[in-house]
Amino acid sequence: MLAAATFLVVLSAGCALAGSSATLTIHYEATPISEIALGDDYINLQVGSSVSGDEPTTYTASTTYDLTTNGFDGKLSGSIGDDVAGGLSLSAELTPPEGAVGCGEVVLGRSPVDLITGIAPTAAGGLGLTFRLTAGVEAGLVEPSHTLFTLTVTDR
Amino acid sequence: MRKTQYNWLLALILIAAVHALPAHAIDMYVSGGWTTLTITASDLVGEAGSGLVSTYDSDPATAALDVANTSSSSDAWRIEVRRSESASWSDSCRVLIRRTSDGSGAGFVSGGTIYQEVGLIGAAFFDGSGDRLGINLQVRIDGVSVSDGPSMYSSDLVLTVVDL
Repeated sequence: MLAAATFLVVLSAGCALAGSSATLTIHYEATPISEIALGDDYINLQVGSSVSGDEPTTYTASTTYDLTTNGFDGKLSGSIGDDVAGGLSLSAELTPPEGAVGCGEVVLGRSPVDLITGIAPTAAGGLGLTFRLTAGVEAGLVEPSHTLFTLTVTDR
Repeated sequence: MRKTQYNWLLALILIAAVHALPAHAIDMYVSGGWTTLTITASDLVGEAGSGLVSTYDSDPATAALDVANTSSSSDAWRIEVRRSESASWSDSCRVLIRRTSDGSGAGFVSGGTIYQEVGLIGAAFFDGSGDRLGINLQVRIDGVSVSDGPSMYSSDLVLTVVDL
């Protein structure tokens, strides 16, 4: 009986697999990417004359911005370095990339304000950026001035 | 049990063992892999507004494959390759593989020198015969884009040697 059992074990061991397999691991990391650029280094907003009783006058100037991001639910926020003179209001409106939500025309100040929200991974160039400078009579004689506009992209 | 019967049984066992065992199974070994790729903003095609470079190649010798324990230099075999399904792999990324050297040994190798996509189902990669050592492999990832999002992506390629 013991000999018969041994015979069967030998037969089973002879039926080994004829092939062999091995594994090759592929691994890569995609890091967070957020790149933004403005189409112009500066733009001019020319303030003209205003007459008492007239509606505030609005002056516009446009440029573009380019955006590449692989983040989800990102946003664009903008701020200016120095507040504009009294009686003036500077605002910005951005064309959102596909799938994102534009916040419309937003008044700019020294604290960042949201201009675009809900940005999904995107690579888009030449998107519109329009500045509007509104001057009321109370602005008086507006001296030439400049301010630095900063556009920032952040991920969720 | 009588001694004679015992001897006959032992002889039967030995005969069965000799005939039941097949020729030596061909063995295959793979060393290396590709785990050093990091995609950053420096991989954009251009400036902001542009997408990522979509295709990346490993070192031409990112892995080495050995086929051993063949019965002779004319013992033919085939290497098959497939990709393991992975939840951490981007559906839009393809993996391709090619052989970049013949290795060394008494047999030969053929095929597999043109990049071929590695699917989830095993497919022929290249053929050969006899023992071959140090057959270099190169891997390509194609279809990388910003749409994939920042993450770690992994997948395994399974290579199998088939005795022909």
